Amino acid sequence: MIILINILVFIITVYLQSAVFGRFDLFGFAPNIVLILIVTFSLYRKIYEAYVFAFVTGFVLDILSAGPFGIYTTVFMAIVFVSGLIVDEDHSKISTTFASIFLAISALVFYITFWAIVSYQSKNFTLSGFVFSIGQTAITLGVFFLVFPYLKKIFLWEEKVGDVRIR
Amino acid sequence: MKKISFLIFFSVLIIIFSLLFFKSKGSFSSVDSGVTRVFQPVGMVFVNSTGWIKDLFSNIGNIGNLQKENKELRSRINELESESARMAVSEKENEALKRELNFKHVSGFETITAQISFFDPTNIRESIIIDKGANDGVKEKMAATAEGFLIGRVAEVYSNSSKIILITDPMSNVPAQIPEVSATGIVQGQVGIGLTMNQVPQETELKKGQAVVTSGLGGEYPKGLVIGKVENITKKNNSIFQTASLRTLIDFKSLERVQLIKE
Repeated sequence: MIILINILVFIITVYLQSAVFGRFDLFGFAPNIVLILIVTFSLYRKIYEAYVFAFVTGFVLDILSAGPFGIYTTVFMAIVFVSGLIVDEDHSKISTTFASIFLAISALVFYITFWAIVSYQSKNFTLSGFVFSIGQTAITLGVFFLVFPYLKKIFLWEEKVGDVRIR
Repeated sequence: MKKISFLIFFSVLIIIFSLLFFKSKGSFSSVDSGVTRVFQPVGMVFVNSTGWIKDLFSNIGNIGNLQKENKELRSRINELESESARMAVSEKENEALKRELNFKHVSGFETITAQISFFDPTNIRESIIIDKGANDGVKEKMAATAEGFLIGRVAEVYSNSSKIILITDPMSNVPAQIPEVSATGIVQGQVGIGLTMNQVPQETELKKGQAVVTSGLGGEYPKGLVIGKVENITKKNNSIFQTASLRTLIDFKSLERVQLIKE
């Protein structure tokens, strides 16, 4: 059941990000729902599940993207790694504020790293890329506030059926 | 509580700085348009509310029949809306196909038509994946067009699919010219901005609306493919070149089909 739910979440996420949010933008910015899911997943699911989810999702997105190859996988795995270090076993202590700050930092690191590598490769450093990274982080954070309560319920579904999960 | 205040403050600052940036780039008209679009339906409700309230009170005694009639009418409206939406899609497709056919006929290029399967997951890189690959005759470096306009170049070819790097990608460089003033330059993608034409000699008199086409220099792209039009011109003192931001004539994000030009 857990595997099936994770696969379903993974498929929906990849399709939404690549086929829908890849062509959608608000004033030029588009939310990164994969990042939102990775952060929420890493905070509320078992750490090994989060690693698998981060790796598979990152790898598929790396293939679909124009690169630099490996950036999705590396950043997603790093998010899960950091989450494992700073979050203890009792996920009930995780507040929305903490999760949103964790997401904001993750998104900033992801976009600024992405922008810096692309700028270095194209030898074309522009401030617009930095501002763009901040804008992308802001809209991702906005969407996170909207979907976080629902994602939390989805990822903690076992507690609803009485199967108490230990992180 | 302090954390929440800080978070809200920080988020608002980020949004303000982002909007300021886009305003300074002259693309704030889209914000105006967006705000109008959001508020327009509510405004129309307010304008129409007087008549609606009047009708409601006059018909209150006949509410049973009205409900039945309303249900039937709603069902009919749904049918018509669905039909209208289907027709709009067909009309749009028809127009796009006409332009593609016209481009093929006028230019004389042999093309391969392909459907877009995926867009790049981030907005930093600009690429698409299409449903035609090596099995269909697709080769690396083929120029890609849509409705007669240059959109990019094939970067990677797989057996049944290919990856196209769009000209709006920051790694894309297209040798271009402005035929009206016989000026040449390099068209580059810029993160968050779109297209800019660099290395245009300072003495060239650029004007808004001038067409930019491929120059064919370097042999990477066929000569004469339309890229876009000049939107803003930036001249700097002590520089031998000027920069122009370009406006593409088609919306890359709403593309569904592309044509690859066979060499």
